[in-house]
Amino acid sequence: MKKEKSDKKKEWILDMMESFEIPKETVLDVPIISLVGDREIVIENFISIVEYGDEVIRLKTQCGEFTIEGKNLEARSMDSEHIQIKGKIQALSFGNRG
Amino acid sequence: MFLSLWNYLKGYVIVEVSGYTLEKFMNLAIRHQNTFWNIKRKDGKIYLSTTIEGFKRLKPYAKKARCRMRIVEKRGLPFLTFRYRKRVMFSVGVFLFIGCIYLLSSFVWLVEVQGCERLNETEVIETLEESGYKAGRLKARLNLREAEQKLINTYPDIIWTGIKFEGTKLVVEISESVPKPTIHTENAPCHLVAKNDGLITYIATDKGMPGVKKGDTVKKGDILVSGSMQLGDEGGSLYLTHAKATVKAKTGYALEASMPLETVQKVYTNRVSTKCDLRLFDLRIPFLRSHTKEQYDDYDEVITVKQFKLTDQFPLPFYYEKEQKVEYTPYKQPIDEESAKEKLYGTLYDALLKKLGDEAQVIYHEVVYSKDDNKLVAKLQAIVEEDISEALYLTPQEMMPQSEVEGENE
Repeated sequence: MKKEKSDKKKEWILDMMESFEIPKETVLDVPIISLVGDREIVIENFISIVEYGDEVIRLKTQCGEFTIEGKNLEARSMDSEHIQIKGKIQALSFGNRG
Repeated sequence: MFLSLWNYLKGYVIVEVSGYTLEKFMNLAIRHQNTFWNIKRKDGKIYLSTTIEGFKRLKPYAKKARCRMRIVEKRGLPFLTFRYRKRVMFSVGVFLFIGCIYLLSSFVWLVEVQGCERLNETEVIETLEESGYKAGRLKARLNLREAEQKLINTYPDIIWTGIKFEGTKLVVEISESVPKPTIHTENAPCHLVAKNDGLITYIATDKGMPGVKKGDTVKKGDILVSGSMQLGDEGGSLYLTHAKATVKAKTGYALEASMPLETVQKVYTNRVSTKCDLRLFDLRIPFLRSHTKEQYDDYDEVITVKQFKLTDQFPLPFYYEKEQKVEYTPYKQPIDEESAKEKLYGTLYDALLKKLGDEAQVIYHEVVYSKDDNKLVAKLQAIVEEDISEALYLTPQEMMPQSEVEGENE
C-alpha cells in the first residue's frame, strides 16, 4: 500500500518534469543504460553488484535488479558511478525491486 | 589509448581475488572511490587491474569480505625504473640517446627546392650555399627571412619564396614569375628592315613608305618600308609613323650536318665491381671494395648516393655511396650509308623548319653528301619564301623633327 503511494508520487513528479522538459535522470535516481550494438553496454548510476560472472552480470539499480546475460562478459572499467561491460550481449532484463 | 598510456606511466597492478563473496568485496571497494579495469572472472577467482595506491586501500575490504588478495603482475614505468635503479650507465645511455637525437635534429641535413620550372634547382642550392645556408648548419643560426630576400635579389625570375624547416630539412619553396610578354607598341615609330638577304617576291604596305618593290634584292639590314612619310603630295614635311607591311622574299639557307659511319656498341659483360662507402660529411668509411682487384679497359660508372633518413622529415648526415663499374666490350659497327643519309637529311630538314617558323615555305632544297674520313657530311641548300620584315624602332634622336637638325647645321 505504501509502495503504491510512493509510486504515484513519483509518477506525478515525472509528469511535472516532462512538462518542464527537464531531463528525468537528474531528479529521479534512475540508471542510464547505453548500448553499443551487442558488444558494449555502459550503465551509469547503479547501486551495487549482485552477481558478477562471465555469462551473467546482475546489478542492483533504483529500478530493480538489472540482469545482463551474454558470453565472455567482462567489465572494462568500474567505479562507484559507472560500469562498462564488453562482450557478446544476449539478453537484458529488469527484475523485481529488491 | 591515452588512458592506458597514463596508466602505464603511473603504474598498475593486476590483482587476483579469491573467496566466496567477491561481489561484496567489489561493492565495498567501489563505494570507497576505487577504480578497477579489465575485470575478468575465471574459475571462481577475479582478476582486476587497479592503481598502486588503490591496491593499498583494498586490504581492509578484502578482510571484511573474507577474500584473499594476491598480486599477479606489476606493470608500468615505476616498477621498471625500480628494477633498473642500480644500472647507472643504462640511464646515462638513455639520456645520451635523447640528447643525441635532439642535437642532431637541430641541424639542417638536407636542402630541398620545390617549385622550380625555369630555374635550375642546383643553382638555387648553390646560391644558398654561398651565403651559408647549407647542410650541416645549426637551424637556430640561420635567418630564413634574410635568405629569402637574398634569393629574390639574386634571381629576378623569383617573385616569391618561402623557406622553412621541416624536421632536419630546409625546404625552399619558389614561385616563379610569368615571363614578360614582348610588347608590340602599335604607335611607336619604326622602320621595317630585312632580316636576311633575299629577293623580294611580294610586298603589301599598310603604313609607311615602301623603299623596295617586287624583284629587288635586299641585304640584311636594308630598310624595306620606311617609317618617315611625307605630309601632303609634294614637298611636305616628314612625319614619323609605325611602318606596317607584309614583305615576302626568297632567301637562301645553307645547313650542314655530319655523322660518323661507325657506331660503338656496348656489349656488357657480366663483370661488375662495386665499391661501397659510408659517408659522413667528407669523411668516407669504406666497407666494401672490390674495385682495386680488377681493372677494366672499358667500363661505365654508376654512382648511387642514398641519404639515411629517420623519417621522411628527418634526413640524417649519413650517406651511403655505391660506385659500380660495369664492364663492356666495345664493338664497332658500320652503318649502312643509305640509312645514314636518310637520317642526316631528316635532321637537316627538321633544323631548317625549326629555324624558319610557321609561315615560311620551302620552295626548293637540295642535299649534297660527301665522305670525310669515316664521316658522312651532308650539306643542305634551300630556297625559301618567308616574311623577312623586322621592326626597327627609332631612337629618340632620330625622332627629333628634321628642321631642328637642319638648324644646327646652319
